[in-house]
Amino acid sequence: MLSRVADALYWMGRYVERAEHAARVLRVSQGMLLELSEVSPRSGDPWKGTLEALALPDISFASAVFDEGASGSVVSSLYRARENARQVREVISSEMWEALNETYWALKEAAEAPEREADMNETLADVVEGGFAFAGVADGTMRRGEGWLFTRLGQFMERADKVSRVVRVQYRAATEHGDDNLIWMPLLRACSALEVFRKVHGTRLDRHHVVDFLVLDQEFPHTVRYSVNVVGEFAQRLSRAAGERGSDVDRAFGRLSSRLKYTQLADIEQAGVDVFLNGLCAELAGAAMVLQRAYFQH
Amino acid sequence: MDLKSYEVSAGSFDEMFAADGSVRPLYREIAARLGALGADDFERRRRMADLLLRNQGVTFTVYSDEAGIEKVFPFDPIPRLLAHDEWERIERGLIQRIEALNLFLGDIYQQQRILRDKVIDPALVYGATFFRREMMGMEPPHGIFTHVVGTDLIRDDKGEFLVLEDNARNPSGVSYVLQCRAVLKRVFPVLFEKHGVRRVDDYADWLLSTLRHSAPRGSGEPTVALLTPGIFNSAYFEHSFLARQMGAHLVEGRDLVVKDGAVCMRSTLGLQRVDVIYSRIDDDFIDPIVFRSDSLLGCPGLFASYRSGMVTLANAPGCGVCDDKAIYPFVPDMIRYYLDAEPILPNVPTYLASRPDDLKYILENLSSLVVKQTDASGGYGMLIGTHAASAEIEEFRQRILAAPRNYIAQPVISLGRHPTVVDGQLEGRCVDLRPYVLFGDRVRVIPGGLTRVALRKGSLVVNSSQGGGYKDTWVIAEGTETREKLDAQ
Repeated sequence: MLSRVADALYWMGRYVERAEHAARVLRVSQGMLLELSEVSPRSGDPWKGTLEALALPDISFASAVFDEGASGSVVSSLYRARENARQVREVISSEMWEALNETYWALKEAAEAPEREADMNETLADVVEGGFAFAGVADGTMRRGEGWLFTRLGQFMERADKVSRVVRVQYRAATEHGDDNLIWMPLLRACSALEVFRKVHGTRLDRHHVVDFLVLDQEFPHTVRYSVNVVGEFAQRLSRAAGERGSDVDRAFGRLSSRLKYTQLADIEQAGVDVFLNGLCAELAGAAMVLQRAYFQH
Repeated sequence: MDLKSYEVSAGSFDEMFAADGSVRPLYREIAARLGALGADDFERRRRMADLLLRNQGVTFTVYSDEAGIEKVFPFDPIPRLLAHDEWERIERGLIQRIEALNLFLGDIYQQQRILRDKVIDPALVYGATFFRREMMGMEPPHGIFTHVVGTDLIRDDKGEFLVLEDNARNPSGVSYVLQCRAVLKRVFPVLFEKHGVRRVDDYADWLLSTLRHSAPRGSGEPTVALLTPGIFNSAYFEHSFLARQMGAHLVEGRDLVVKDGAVCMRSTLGLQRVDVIYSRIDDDFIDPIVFRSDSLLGCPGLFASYRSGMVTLANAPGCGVCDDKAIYPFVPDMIRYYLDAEPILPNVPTYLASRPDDLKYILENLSSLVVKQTDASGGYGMLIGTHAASAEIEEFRQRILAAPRNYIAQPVISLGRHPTVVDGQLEGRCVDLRPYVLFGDRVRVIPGGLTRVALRKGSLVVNSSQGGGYKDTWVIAEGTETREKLDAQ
């Protein structure tokens, strides 16, 4: 596979995930802001937290969704996903392109609609659904070769990073203001994890159990550990074909997954959740650099 | 759809309606089916087609302000029909033409018999903008220079097909043929029933066979790559579409590197050798060392690798000589000279400003002629004398006098028309026909090709860069009635 193509597939995967994640977080955040009058003063400024979790500058809600110029907004991530996909249309299936393209155009149309504020929730739900459609179509139409591996690598790399980030931000809020369902329920909902969490931990909705679940659960696809495992496995499969070239990548990602494998909640809390997750994200970024050097630039 | 209020314009050939306003027999079935479609239903389906094309990304970008606006190519759902007997003749004519053009290219870059026998003035050939002296003495695999040709045909007022120009360099548009057939079948299946329309979707297979056939000897399973200028090129959709359909690599210049004389792609597994490059970049840009040194689109060293036979370029650099409008008038002579045959498809009568007699005639009749710059395309560099203001005519007079080699003139042909949907009504609009011809282990012609339509009323220019749209083209399979028989009824 062409290096440029592998690069574009990886970033397509990352940006689709970034757009979907932003849509998920913004959607629950909107639900929360609607009830803000009832918010206990303890939970701090939830909108500020959302912006921080999505690495967005200080912008309005509508901008976070519709502003193409704001890096990290839903539409800008979707646009970049589509531009990357456009460069590799001969490698991805037509159905994948159409799923992505339809989601993009639907969002662009929603941005122009006079009722765009009132329809915000539906609009964001459509983006999340578009993410599902894209992943499903990819699953059903892509050969499990390099192209697939790079796409999924990008997707789960992004997920590991973004879930870590949002957990970090919310954990800080909970430490400062005390545990509150208002902090943890939306977060779990944003990760489609509330129902599963209940099955695993029942009513123990506190910072310890949420961190334990969203960081360390290895069975649920929206957790840090699961994502890092996928990335590690895919890096290993790539290196099997690439030989020497891939061994550094394999090592970098393998080290990360084994570190999570032998980590318990107590270790994380002893190191400090913020410190631990920060370190993890830095290591992820480092591994991504190794990946880039091995496969994309030479 | 209301067909009764359609106005047949006098003085030009209408594809669907005879001069007396009756539906031509070839179109009877389709007219009945269109007539049975309610206006609302028709409009709903037309919108569906637009939406499908947009979602599939069959768009081009208009850069009017900072952000480019993506637009769907205007697609007209009323198909253009060709009877199998008239198509059979066109096909024979096109095969003859591509054979003659290839022999001509091989000749001018090697023996130059046609120049020595004074059939064509060498100065005309060497003066052509797209003549490439770097190609002298080059013998590509199987002697094939131009593998893909798109020839533009028009009908005159009597319904006779004439060749308007050849595109032997880098013809585009075939992806629209394949896409619009797929969309029309999905949205208006009812139109197709009982017609026996010939399939077009073998094209990608044919193209791949043609390209593989052109591979350097001994390359076993050749690796084929399509070279594109990149996503900002207006034909990018077509490049990625064809690469996808063929299962070929889509590469940009920056993906290529020459190593030990071979062209290689930078891949995730290291460098990978390429055997055949289907180049969709103008040959000016393929190699900054040999051609334009400011080109960032090509690959340094590519041309040397090509000359040494390590890689094949399709089409070969230098094919553009055939696209030169001052060479075009000689194609019938080429057919006689190389094939010892009479041309099956006639040319449009053409005056060369480089001939003193013709120049005199052109200058005296500017207001009734079409003047064309010999190296221009896409509807640019053109004067339609009958529609032009006197200032424009004067400007062209000066330009012709300054460089007679660069201009030709033709009579204004009253282009054939086809009913086309304009604001929900059927109106006659000028159409042409661009079939695509592939030269590989054998010559193959896509049944039909691209029918382009000038959407502006009265406009003679069908190019998409000038407000043109397109239609699906149906060649009706043998066994159905012939145009001749139908017309005799």
